[in-house]
Amino acid sequence: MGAYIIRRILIALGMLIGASLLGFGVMKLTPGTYFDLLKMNPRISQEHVDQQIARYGLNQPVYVQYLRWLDNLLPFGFKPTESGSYLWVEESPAAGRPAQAPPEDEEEESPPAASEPAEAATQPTQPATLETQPATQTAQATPPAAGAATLAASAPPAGQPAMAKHKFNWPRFKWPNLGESFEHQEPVWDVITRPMLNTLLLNLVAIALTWLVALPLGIYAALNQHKLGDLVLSAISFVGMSLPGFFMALILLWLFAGMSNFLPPGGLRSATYDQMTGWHKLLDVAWHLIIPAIVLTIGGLAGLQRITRGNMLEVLRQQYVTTARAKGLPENRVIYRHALRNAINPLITIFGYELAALFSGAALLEIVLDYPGMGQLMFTAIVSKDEPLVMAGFMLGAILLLLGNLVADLLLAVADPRISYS
Amino acid sequence: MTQIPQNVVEPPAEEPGALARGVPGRPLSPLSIAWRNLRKHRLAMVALVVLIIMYLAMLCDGFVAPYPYNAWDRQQAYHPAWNLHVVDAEGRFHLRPFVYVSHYEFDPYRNRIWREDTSRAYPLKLLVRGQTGTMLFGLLKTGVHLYGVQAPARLYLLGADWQGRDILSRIIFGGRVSLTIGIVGTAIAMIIGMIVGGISGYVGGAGDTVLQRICELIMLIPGFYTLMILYNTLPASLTSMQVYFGVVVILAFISWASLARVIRGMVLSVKSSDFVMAARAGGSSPWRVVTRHVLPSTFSYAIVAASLQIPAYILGEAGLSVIGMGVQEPAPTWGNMLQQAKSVTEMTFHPWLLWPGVAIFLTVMAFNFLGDGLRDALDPRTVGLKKE
Repeated sequence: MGAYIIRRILIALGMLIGASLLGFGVMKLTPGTYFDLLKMNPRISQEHVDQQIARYGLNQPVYVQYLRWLDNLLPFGFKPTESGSYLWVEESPAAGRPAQAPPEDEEEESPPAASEPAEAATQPTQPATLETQPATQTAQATPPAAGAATLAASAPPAGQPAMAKHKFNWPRFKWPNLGESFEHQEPVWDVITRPMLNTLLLNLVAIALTWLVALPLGIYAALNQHKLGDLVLSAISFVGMSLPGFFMALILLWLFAGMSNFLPPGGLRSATYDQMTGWHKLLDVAWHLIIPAIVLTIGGLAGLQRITRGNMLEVLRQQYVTTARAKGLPENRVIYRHALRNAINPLITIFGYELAALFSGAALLEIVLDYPGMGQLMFTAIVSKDEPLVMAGFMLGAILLLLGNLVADLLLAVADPRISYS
Repeated sequence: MTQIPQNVVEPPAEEPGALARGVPGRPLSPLSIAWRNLRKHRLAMVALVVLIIMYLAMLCDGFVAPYPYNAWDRQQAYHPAWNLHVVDAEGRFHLRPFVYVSHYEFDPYRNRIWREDTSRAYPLKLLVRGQTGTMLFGLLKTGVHLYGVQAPARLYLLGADWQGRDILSRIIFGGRVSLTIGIVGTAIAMIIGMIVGGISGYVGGAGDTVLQRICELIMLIPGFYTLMILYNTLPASLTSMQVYFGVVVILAFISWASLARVIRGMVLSVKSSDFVMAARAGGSSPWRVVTRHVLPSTFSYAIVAASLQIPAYILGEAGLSVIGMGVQEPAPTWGNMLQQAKSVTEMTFHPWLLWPGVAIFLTVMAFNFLGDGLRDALDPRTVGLKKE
């Protein structure tokens, strides 16, 4: 089992790199960049826009941009040394403590760099790690635009002493960095935390509701097969499966927010949220969650209820159920102890798939309902070509999909002794 | 489906008879067996009829719709739905429905108050001459409409949008996009899926591994995000026809992988069957074996899988259009019509803007039922057996 999981995770890492290449490539197919709009704005100086473009490395070749992004993301990295070499450190007192090296660098070399930012911007040679240094460690000390400047400055100076003792420059741990959003001008992670939590909240509520409602209904339908209740439920299931979520949301909005002021018209908070106190805040959020949660629940309910029903019917035909009945067990015990457990086992996989859709599944609904979640954020980011933000959301979605599939497979193995991965 | 319990026992008894009833010495073809099975599936047949009607209406859109999709009239903006009357202003009943010319005034709160000019009634007529529209995807022009009213009056069965365009007409014309996108998209996805799945399953080896990894990759990426990103790569200068094909290709790009995987599985299982062995032993080239023997035996499943995928295309297109990514105005699609109804104020005051959603719903439901029926009818294991 352990070996299986490790193999799956290794494959998953490969897939993630593939997905990132795909996502990045498609993003780069998009004509223009985020800064094209800024360029057209006469109130923003051309130099400033050029500085920004250089700062985010958009003037570099696409593969350099990708490597740069990937390097930011890696949890370890080579720290550049004074000599500009990534792999070797000179054995000298100054480089002996590499952790302190960058601030020294900066003191020495930022004055000339600041005087010639344009030249720094046109230097396309140094990829990757260099840029992360100013961003992560000397962020307080330097103005952001100097980031590209230090890049030029740390290129190998001409008069390098010819011989020195060299030591391997071990990669060091660093926190994965998703880059900086073009639009918000702050780290992507800070931008997406809020929407991510909002999306998580909505989806968890919806999943809980779905399971709480679908299981009993499925069991009920199976026990009353071909009776009125079953027929009504299967009709509702088919409607739920065919009714597009966004349309259901619009109808609910129309009925409960438009025709009557019963529910709020989208969003997650009232305008007066900040003036509210404890309980009222909670109630306000719950109030706003009703429509999106109901739409998601009905969407998921249809499938889950049908599957529960089918499984239950299949199990009820098994011989051990007949045996249990023949033994004279009370019907309740037969159904809830013998049948139900076996009927629910296969459903566990579905749980994994729901996990997979946690972030990206409700994107359209969020956009339609103005729900401040990942979908909404991604929509604006994609339209404005805010690449780091798009890549972050895209990768998070992919990671969750992978994780969800893995969890689904593992849960199945746990639940069903006939399946083993070895 | 489950509606007719007595059928549970009926079909197996009928099955031998069915074969016997064909031409003597010639068993029924698989297609006619499937058709017979499908006909027993009542909901699927209803769905089929509904779909046929919808597609016919879409093909003859300029004739069936009372107005061309872009016939605007600002004086009639947001005309409410259903202005047909059978009882006139004096309270007399007329067998033939009629409409009045209407116009609006604003009340102090800027709400539209609609007033009808009851001095003259314009009866509803069949085969009426009106504005020239196009049909058969714009190949034919027609000035005659199946029904309509004389010129100054306008017929608004489902109301009008902000430009005074008839919503019903636009829904019918919108079918050009929304009803075809599923079929075109599935066709593209199926071709790719057949090629990739066929190669992958039949040839195997390293090529198989690579192709399977690619499929997994496509299935791994979050669908709707990818749709949005891909849509954004389309240049803004495209005509609506080009956008349409762009969207189809995008949707097919997302969904071919699952088809390819399924077909690969089928090919793998068919590959070792006797008739394929016989064909290979007979000296057929691999190409011939794959195209003549292996792939055809996966058809029935592929058709089911495809018909179950069509709703996803319709929903995908509608979803993209609703958020403004798709075929743009003035060309109507059900999604971009719904986009107008997106704000709460709009839908509160003009709820008839929501009608295109009903069209989406009906189509998707019909395809779901039909796909369900086809699955039962074509699945060799369930032929003659009721699926529980």
